[in-house]
Amino acid sequence: MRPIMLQGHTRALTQVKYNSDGDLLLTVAKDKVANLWYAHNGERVGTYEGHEGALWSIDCNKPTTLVVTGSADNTARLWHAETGKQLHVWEFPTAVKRVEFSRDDRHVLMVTEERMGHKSGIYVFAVDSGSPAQSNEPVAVIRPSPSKATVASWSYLDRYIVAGHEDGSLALYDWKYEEPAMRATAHDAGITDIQMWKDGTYFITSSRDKTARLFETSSLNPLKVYKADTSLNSAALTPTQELVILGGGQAASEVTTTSSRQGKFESRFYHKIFEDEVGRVKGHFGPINTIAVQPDGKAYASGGEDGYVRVHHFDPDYYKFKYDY
Amino acid sequence: MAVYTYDNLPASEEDIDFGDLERKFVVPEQEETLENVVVLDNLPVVDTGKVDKLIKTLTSKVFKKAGKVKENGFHMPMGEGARGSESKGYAFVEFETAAQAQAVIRAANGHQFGASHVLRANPFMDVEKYAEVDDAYRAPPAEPFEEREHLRSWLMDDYGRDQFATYARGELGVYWGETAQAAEQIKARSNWTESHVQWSPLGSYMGTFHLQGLVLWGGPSWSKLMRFVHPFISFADFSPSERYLVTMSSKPIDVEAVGARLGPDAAHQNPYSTADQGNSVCVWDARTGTLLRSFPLPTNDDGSPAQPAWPQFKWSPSEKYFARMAYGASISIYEAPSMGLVDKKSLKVPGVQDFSWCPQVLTEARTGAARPEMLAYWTPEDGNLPARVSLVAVPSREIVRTKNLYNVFAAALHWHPSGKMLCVRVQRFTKSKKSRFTNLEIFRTGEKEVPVDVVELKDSAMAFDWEPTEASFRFAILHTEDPTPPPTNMAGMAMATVKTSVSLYSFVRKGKLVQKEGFQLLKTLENKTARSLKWSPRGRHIVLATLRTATNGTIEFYDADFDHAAAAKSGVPGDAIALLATAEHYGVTDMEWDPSGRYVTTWVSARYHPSENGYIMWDFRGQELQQAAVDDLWQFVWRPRPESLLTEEHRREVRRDLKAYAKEFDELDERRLHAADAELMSQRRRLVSEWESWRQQVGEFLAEETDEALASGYTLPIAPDSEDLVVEEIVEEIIDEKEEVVGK
Repeated sequence: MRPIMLQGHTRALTQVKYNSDGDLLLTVAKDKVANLWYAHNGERVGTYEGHEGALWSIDCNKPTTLVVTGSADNTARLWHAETGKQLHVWEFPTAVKRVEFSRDDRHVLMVTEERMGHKSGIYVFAVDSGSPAQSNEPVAVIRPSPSKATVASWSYLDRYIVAGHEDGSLALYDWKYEEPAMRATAHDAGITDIQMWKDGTYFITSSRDKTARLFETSSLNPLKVYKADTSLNSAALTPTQELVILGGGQAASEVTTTSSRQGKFESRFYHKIFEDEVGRVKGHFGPINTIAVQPDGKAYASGGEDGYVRVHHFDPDYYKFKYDY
Repeated sequence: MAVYTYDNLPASEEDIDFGDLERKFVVPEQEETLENVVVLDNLPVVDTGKVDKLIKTLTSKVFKKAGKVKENGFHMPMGEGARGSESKGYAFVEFETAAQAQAVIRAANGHQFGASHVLRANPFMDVEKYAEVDDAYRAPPAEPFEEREHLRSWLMDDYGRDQFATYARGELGVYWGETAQAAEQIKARSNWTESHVQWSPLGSYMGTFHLQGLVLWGGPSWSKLMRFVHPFISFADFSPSERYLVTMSSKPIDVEAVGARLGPDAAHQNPYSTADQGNSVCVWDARTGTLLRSFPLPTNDDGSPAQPAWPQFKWSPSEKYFARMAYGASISIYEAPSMGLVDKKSLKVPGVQDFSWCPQVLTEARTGAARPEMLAYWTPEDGNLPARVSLVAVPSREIVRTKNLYNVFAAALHWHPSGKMLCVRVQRFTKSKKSRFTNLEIFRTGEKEVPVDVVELKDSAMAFDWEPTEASFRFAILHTEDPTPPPTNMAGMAMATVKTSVSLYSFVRKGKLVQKEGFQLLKTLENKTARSLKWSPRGRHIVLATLRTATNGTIEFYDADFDHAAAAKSGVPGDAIALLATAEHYGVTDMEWDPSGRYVTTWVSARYHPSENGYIMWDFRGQELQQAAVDDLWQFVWRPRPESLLTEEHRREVRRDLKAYAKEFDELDERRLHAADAELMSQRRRLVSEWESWRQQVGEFLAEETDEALASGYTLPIAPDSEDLVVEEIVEEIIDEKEEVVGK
């Protein structure tokens, strides 16, 4: 498995994401630029330029016509996917940490940071792919409390928004009514990533408490626990094999004092059902900040604190891998 | 009182009855407490003329600063004796306070007074106490016999496994060490101990430390076996055969506070009496939990508290004696179980730096009779006096052997576990005093006259270890040219490696081929980074490890008897030594052989290294058996084993039939592995079927929800094509174009 190195960022990666066809890869980093790549060979298609601060999050709609980005310059922007033209700017009092199109592409959620007296919020805006003008008026605003939300994702049929919080708890928000439908304690430390299964019925969370966990969306029932020996920044589900991929490493502030061997900068593969670690992929020389799996399950991409994106196409061995039972 | 009215006033004051007021305001007569009175017994019998002299001697020599006698507080009854008026050999002494009286009792009781008198001091109140004892004997109720659990049950394990304990994240767990699979948990509890865990030397008990004291656990059920109340306990130590237990606390005992903590219902559990007030070190009977004696912390000559060393007491191998050193002054040897100071006085050794008991009771070669126990100590140079190592027999205090040493900087005493060799590792200055080197002075304590062999090293030694077997008294020594320790980080991990060498020596007896008896260098292994070395408990194998070094975690496994044929051929005995394996354990902080000598564990403790905590188990050849990550691992301790009961003959038999046994054990291992596999497989099948049934359930739920959502106007996102779209593109490329004119 020889990875393709995408060297399009000068600073730490914050999110990588495949489009739903799996032929394109979107990446954002703390260097103000969003990149679009061909997933199969790592050739750059183009960039989305205009943000004035670090980018935290990116997503595109199902037909890959629109791209939305969230940034530390307190804005979220909508782009024309093909031309890179900026279509709209939403302004917020604080940084936008997470953006995601709803499953039906009609809405987009934005998680904002808690800072300088401004509470963290989950905003939902309507997005009209047919017209160039977008509404600045949110359809719904959720104010997570007592702890700020760090990540959020749409549930099955866009019924709920699942949010992970700084205190390690999870909440299921009935977003149309702007209120929590259910809460659950999930982790002992902040939740760093949430990724849904393709139908939105269960999801995986990663946390700084060195574990990743699987939950049922409708009940927030814990299903599985994957224990790692380092703080985790991202967790992804593989669509074909029964595996999960976790990424993390020691906090960036401690990295300079440790060797890459000690930093645990590997992607770890766990069996989804048996919770056993089955393998690791080395490569990054900084913590892994984000992982995404190609929707057809034939490749995955990881973005690291080291500024590189590594796209791995799985070897034939990978498909043959089967656990005895 | 009669009621008086104005009309019937009594004539005079005398007629008034004040009885009621007197009763009401009576001042109770000051009760004379006798708690400050001490009864002194076994005094010499003196006549009237010498009474004053005796009193003077007693106050100045015996009571000293302990207590001040009250004015006219000395009552010595006199009687008619052979020589007229004579004392009766006892006295009542009144001190200023009860506390002083207590102190005097402590000081005077058992005091050797003159050649033939051992003083006895008792509180006067005891007279009353014992006077009240009923004359008729009443048998105490017989306590029902409670069968105790088998403390060595773990040795009867079907698979001959050893146990170990780990303490991590506040959870203490006991496990069976396994080779092929993960360690099997026997019992684990969080907050089982409050600071650390300790096994007794033969493995019978596991001690856990609590604010209140020490608790011993053991037996197949891991129940609480014994509790020792000692608030703020910091250390505990057993005698070699687990008969006695010594505990030390960071705070002096406050008897009342212990009582208050226990509460009135559990007052009988308070082991302390006023005599223990202020003491910090306790000696207990480990089996019954009885407090035998408490001791204060040692003090310097000027009375200031000395730095408390641990262990406070070192036990002789027979457990008959235990001794403590007053640094630079004396060694106090006590007797067990009486707890008395041997010969009533300490062994004065000005300047003593360290002492150590011979670890075995040696026997006479010819008669088989036990020789007296022995301890060794060393004193540094003082003015013109040379430094000196001495061996003293106990209890006779007879010097068995001494040796003078010069230019000594430091010394360490290493007894061979058999007690037949004592290696004194002497760090010496060169004549210029600029650099240091090491001499090994090896006392053959097992032999008559105790001959001493000297092994000189050019380097400075860092670590020393005897091979535990007696076959050839081999030892390994770790030495370096540059003894300055490398810089360490905050946690104590060295930031750089030190270049070290390891030398192995063996003892050769005079024989046909050997002219000179003594220690012979077998081999020096050079250019190592090791900081620690350990022989297997069964000898032969030795492990070198680069512990607590941030940049290196090399572990090397050596076999000292790998190829004797090669050694015989070349004539170099060191050629029998071979490196079996080199391994790497990143960040390793500690290394330990299991008590059977089959496995080695290396582990990364959170004490020194914040991450990668966990342990690796190796076999003695250096093959990794398994690895376990344990977050915040603090301690990993193998449960010690008592000595084997097999005789040398039995062992020979086992060695002879080793093949048959090996086959048996291999089969056993195979069966276990299969059983474990089968269990794992069924467990996995169960998990998969659970997962699948859950997915099916969720699928049905989602279908229902989807129908509902569609009815209320939700549009489904476009499903990505389920099949990969194959686009066939035909590209025609013109490779070559040629124009030819074909005839007209």
